[in-house]
Amino acid sequence: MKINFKELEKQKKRNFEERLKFIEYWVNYIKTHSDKEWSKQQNIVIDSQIK
Amino acid sequence: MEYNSIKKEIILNRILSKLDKFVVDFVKHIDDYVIVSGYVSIVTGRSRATEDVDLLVPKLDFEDFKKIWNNLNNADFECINTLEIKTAFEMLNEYAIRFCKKGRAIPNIEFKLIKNDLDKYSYDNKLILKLKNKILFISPFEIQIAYKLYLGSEKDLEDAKHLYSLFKDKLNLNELMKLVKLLNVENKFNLVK
Repeated sequence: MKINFKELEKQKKRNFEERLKFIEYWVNYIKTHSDKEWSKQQNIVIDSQIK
Repeated sequence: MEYNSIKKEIILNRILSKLDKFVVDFVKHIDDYVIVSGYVSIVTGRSRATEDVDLLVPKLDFEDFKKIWNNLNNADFECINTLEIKTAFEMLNEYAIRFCKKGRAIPNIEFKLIKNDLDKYSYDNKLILKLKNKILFISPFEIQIAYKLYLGSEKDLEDAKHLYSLFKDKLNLNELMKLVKLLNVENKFNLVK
């Protein structure tokens, strides 16, 4: 198997930038929706790890 | 969510997650503390999970620690590191000790003494978080952002981005920049602003 590290690094950087963009989107969602609305969605992520 | 930076108070009417309930249940037994790191981002909306919550307390003598230990034990919490109170107390001077609900390692509280100036800053400037009818004490956002930039993993940078984006209109920007410079993370700050 040949690994193109340059390409992987590019992908990693792009992925991180996209996640930062999602954080901006999500913060905007938090600011424009009630605490109940956004937390209901967020709890799906948090509670998934806890029994 | 309402953040009043003058009163150092946040009012949050979120639906409590299982993690929130765990934290609220734990801090009932601690009078004096500040919560730092990931949970500060998570309770204010960051969409990620965590296995632990970092909690700092001022130096305790053995009698104070024993009272907390017994109360936690009666409330179904146990120390992951040791079941011996004296060993736990000795460990606390050097390391963090972890508490979980009996038989369940996740989530857990990383219980640490305030040891350095950054810890002390968080404690001295803590914010009051009104979570429905519960109260939690959390670290101020300015130091959280700067410290997360210092830690520097992608997760930490994302936590910093979340706090900065959410509260940028209410942050003390002079203070934030002072802390960013102090921790020598000006270059990383550009990523999140």
